[in-house]
Amino acid sequence: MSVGIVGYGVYVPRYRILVSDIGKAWGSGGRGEKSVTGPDEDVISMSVEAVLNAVDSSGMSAKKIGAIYFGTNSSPYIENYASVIIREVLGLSSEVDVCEFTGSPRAGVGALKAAMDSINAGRVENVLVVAADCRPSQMGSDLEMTFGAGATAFLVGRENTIADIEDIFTYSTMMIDRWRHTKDDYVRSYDYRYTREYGYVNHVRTAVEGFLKKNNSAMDQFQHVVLQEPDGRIPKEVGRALGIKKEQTAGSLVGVLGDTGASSMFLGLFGALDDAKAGDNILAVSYGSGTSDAIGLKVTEKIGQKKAEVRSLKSYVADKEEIDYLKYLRYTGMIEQAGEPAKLGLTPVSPFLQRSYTELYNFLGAKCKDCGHINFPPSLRVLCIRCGSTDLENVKLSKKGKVYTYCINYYMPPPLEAPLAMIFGDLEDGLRYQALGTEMIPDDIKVDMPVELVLRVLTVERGVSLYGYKFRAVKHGI
Amino acid sequence: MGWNKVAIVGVGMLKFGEHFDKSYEAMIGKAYLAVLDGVQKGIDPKDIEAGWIGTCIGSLMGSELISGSMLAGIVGLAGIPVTRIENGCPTGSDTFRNACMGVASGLYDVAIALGVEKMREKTSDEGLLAIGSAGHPVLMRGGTAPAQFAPQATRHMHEFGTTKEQMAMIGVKNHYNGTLCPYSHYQYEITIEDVFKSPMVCWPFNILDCCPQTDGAAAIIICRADLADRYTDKPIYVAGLGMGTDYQFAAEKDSFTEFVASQRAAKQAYKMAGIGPEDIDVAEVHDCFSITEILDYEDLGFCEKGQGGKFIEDGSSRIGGKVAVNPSGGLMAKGHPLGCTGLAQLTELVWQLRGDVIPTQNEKRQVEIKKGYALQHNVGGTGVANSVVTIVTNRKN
Repeated sequence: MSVGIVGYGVYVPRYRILVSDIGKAWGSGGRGEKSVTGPDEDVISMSVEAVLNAVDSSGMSAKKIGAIYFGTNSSPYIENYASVIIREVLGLSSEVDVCEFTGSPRAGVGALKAAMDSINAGRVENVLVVAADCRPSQMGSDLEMTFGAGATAFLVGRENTIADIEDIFTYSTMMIDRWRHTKDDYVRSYDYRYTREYGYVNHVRTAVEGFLKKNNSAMDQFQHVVLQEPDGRIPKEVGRALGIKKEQTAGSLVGVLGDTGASSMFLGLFGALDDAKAGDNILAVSYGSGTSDAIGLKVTEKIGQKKAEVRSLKSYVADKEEIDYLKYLRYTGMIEQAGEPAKLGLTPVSPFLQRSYTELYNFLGAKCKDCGHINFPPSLRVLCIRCGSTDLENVKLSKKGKVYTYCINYYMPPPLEAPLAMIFGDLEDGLRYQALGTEMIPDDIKVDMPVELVLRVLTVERGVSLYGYKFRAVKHGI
Repeated sequence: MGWNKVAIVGVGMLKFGEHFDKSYEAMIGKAYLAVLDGVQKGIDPKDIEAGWIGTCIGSLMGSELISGSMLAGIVGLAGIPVTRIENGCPTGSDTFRNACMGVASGLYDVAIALGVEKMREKTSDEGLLAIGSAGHPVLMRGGTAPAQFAPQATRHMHEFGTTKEQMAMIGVKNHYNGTLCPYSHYQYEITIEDVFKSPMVCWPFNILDCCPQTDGAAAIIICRADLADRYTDKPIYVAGLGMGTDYQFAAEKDSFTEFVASQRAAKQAYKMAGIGPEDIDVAEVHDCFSITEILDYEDLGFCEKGQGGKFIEDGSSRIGGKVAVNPSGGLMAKGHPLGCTGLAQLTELVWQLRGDVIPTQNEKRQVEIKKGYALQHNVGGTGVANSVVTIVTNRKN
């Protein structure tokens, strides 16, 4: 059996800014829009949403994941594995390998190739691959007009694949077109006319031609062709040069989401898989930092067997809220509110939190075997608070429920954003949980409103990002 | 009828407000002088055998490890045993409660309980957030003091139809009472419209639904009941004491339309005093936020559950009503310096029961004492899970 994709999920933040709004601020124009992370989102919180979608869609138990390979250029850390949080959220064994791939918008393909090698070598059976980015861009720069945010995750394995990976052809040269030094806060770029021709166009063409020649195949054999989209223009140019027909492409995402970096090609690929039929051939082509990968996939008959209803790319693209440039700058942390930041009582590296991360992220409660009460969090409870029993067992808790009561804070020091809802939600398992709200409009919050817990950044202190669950309104019909 | 083993023979307090010009230590010294002055027949400081000091300054502004020496060591009492109490919003009342236990145990004949707080030594941002996020850095993130009580208001409105207008009436009543009390931080009247027009702080609270940040100090001298005559002709007796607790985190509570800790504390105190809510002439209760006083009416038994909104609306809690609640202006107008709030409430009740409210002969301010019982109440701390209720009386038996 060949290695392929067992399930996939995507995530796009709901905020958008019109590129023309950015242009207006700096005296230029601009077309289309791009996705923007909310004030409490980062590449990890986005990835967790995509991962949960991917696991649900696969119908596979997350316990079968043997490794997590994460491709991104937006990790909060240069040293320290940010993605280990994904393993904690899924509640996987500490033997599950976590590895990060970075340095290029094609970082996700590096992760995918490593995943295939790990499986082919027989070391693991299934790998969770994540490709996500929300790269910061300097105010007033060309890249500010394009850099968007998105996350993708997929399970790679041999069993129950919905699309098999036939081959990957990689072409790489020492081309420096976009880069970010450790001393830089933002990605830099060189003369666009030069890098377009010798960078993207040359590498993508060569990789595709190499793939077709190696596999004795032709462009018209592919029902779907997906290209990495660093902007709206050059993929079209390459498409023309390679003879890609309009019906082979699902339409551009860069015009609605921006350049989503490591997730760009995968968002296109999973959009194509949403529409694909058994037997379809897909060609997906990456590009970044002088490297292009042409990936051929064949859709299997399992494509039609829906495991669970998860949010599709189309729904994420459609569900959006336009924000203005000022809000964009605040949400992305380019400008900050004055005042002393609200500090944690204990830092994210304190033993208090380090001993609690697994139960907080995997969301475990200590259920009393005598009276049934769920004690939370387990590390704080040796005895059941209701009956005093010591017969407690950790159980995984539901993250869905409804609002029991709430309030809305209108004055908050940075980095908290007011108005800020504080919600007490009654979860399906019977636990009442207190958390901040996210993506909420104050007037829309009501007692009994359905809500779900999503992982978000609570704060960054001592250079460590602290995550926690927040309540988000459950929307129906998307 | 009641417990009556301990008598209050002197009370004294500083005017509540912003004491930017006084040090923490100076406020302790002045409250001590005020209480000595408040003992009708005078007292030799050498009679004071033990002390209790209530203060939350460590948690509030990082002045950690304040201990008994902060009282004994700076007022000329160095040498006597003094215990420092910190127990959330009921810190002041629990300080008094512990002093009473010390005297009632027979260990000491005369003791002092003193509460002090410098709330304005830091900005309100730093103070409120520091309190709100206490307990757990993840679970309590974004918590503030109003956010500990506002969800109760939302739920009470949802279940019982309590209105924002009724909540506003708490502020209107207590601000009016505050204008009559020279010890009150705020000295101005407000209207329901003023409350609605004031900035929204934490829905459903406007700023005038909230108590201010106030500096204060207050002290009480107590003694064995049978020795009270040495110090005063008008002793006030401790008829009942209660202290109730609840779960650590707000989310662990079953109901958000009540404070079970208050109910538990009240039950103990009423039982000990051998009376019921109908016997209370005057009460100083915890009104840190408007909804708190509405819940107090129900939790302390002044009205049926769910009827707290109506109780304020029909005037039952004003001076001259069924039970005068917060004639001093309450936390809302007089102020809420945690460590001394309970002691200042008791000071007000002692004045009321003795019939010598300050300023004296102020008819508007003096509550008519019919049955001779007064009730003091605080509730708060992490998860609003701590409550103290004290019942005092002018009846010897």
